[in-house]
Amino acid sequence: MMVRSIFGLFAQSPFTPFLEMADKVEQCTHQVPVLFDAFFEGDYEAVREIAEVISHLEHEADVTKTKVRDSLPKSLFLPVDRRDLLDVLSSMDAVADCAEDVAILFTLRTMEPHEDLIPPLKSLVRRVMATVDKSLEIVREMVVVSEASFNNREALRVRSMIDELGRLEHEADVVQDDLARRLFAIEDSIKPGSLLMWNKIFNKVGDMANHAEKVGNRLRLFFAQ
Amino acid sequence: MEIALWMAIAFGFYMAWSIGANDAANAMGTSVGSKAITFKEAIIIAAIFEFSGAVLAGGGVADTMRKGIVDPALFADAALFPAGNGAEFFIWGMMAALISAALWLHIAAFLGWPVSTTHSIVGAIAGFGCVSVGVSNVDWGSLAFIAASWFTSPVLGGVLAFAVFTVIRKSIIEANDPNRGLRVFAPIMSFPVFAVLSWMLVTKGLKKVQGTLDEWGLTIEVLGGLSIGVALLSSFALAVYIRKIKVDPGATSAERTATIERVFRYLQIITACFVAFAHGSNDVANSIGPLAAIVNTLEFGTISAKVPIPMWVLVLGAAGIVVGLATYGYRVIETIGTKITEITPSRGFAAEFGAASTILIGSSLGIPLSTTHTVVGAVIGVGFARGMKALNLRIVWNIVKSWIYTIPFCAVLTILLYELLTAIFI
Repeated sequence: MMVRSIFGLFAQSPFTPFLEMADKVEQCTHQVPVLFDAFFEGDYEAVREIAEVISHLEHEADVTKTKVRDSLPKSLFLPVDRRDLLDVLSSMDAVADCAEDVAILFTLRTMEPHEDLIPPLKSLVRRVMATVDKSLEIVREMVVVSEASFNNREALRVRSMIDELGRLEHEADVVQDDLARRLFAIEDSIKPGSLLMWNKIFNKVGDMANHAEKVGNRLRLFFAQ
Repeated sequence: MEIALWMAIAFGFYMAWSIGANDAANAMGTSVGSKAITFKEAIIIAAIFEFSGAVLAGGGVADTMRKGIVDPALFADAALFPAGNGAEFFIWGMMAALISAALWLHIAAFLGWPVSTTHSIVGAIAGFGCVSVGVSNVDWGSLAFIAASWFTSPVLGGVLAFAVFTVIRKSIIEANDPNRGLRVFAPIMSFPVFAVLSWMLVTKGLKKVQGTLDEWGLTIEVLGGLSIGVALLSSFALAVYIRKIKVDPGATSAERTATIERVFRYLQIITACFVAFAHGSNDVANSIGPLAAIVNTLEFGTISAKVPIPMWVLVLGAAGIVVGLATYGYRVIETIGTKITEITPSRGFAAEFGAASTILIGSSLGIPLSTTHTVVGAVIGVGFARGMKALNLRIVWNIVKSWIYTIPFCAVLTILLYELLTAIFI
């Protein structure tokens, strides 16, 4: 005999699956600095291997994204706008996508490191990773804040974290522009293919930070209600 | 006619069993789900308060059941019953209503539909009215009034729960100093619960036990003062008790939430009693209403317009609920308790407070409300106050559908059973 109960009314928390998504994106993006390190050391074999790993992890993040999406049917009644929540998910996925793009760009052509580019490139990767990590920290915080019904005190704290995220993204932007200038300063001394690919790589690395910032901006809307 | 009495007792008990087995879970589930009480405690609380609610405060609704929809005086009408045996038709009609409502509850339980016991019996009595005294003699206005209350009760439950949770948010969860909110809020919110419980206990309860209050030399003012006094004392005791729970100003958000929820755990134990009491007082009438009607008619041979419900009938209904809870309901509560993890004590408290107040208001006004609908309304109300993390609105639609099916099904089944029973016994 089944049960006559109204408790099917309670759906699983839509926020907790985001923890799993954050973990997947973290695993995937954290391979990017590893890839750059291998590249700076001139170990192109390792670069290709890590690129493979990133591609695999990005696929896992994709699977998780689909799973989280499926857990958010239209019939759910949520304390936040469902579209905003799905946008957060898309932006998180986009961060992992860009990480994979960076990895693929390295495998299309054997890139040569250039003395003038190495220090600023290292700096860019570090800053982009700081931005990405901040955005994931905010996502994890969202799960805690949802426990407290997105109240004002919590909102203030998370808002300041989102402000911090914006600042980090801006710093990454500055380094990225500087890097682009340095690249075109040496355009005559490197191969056109190399020039093209570096430009693309810089953009993709920078895009990781851009999408990470979008994650934060979408989350900010939860508190605006 | 001996057989009619035993059948009425058996089916009345079956109906009460079914209410205890299924509905009690809806009343206790939020407390177990939020881990405010363990599943064993839920059974004990439910047994005590369902029983006392049914016995002490459960009289009011039964009258409306019998008189509201079909006027019993019609059964003495010579034009309708030329043989003058209207009372017999009345007995078997009530029997048919009782059986069809109980059967429908069993079928719904088998299908997993959360139908309302109240809807079932009202639909069944309407069907009985149509077939016995004719469609034109059924008081459709009264039925519409009851039906309207099924719409207003979830709304009222929802509004109350919304208001309570909003107050909790503003004064405790969002407050700079949650301690002050907790100290003030907890006793104030529990005061009406204590007051209503003791009021019901001293007025209705004593009346049933001792006949008239005058024998005790007690006036209504004395009783009112007594229950307020008891409530004040209880609230004060609670205030003292929760004093030791303090939110550390330097605590992290998660620690803060955990401490606040600990206080609500105590409050939810109180509301769990409140809900069980309200449910017992409201839903026991669904089974004992028809039973009391049959018993009275058998005893006096005529259908009285208004008769007191015999104590043993009330106790039978209350015992049926507790037996249902003990033999089957525990499994329902256990399943629910492990399944819902998405509800916290503060949310559960708000929902239960809203639902129980609505049910008791309805019960004391003699309006049969649906416990199921009121609890659903209250939960959604908390959701609107951004309390719930996610609610599955498809389930709401299922509940509405089962609401639509219940009345016609019970009405038609009652008509069939009426024809069958009167063919056999009259």
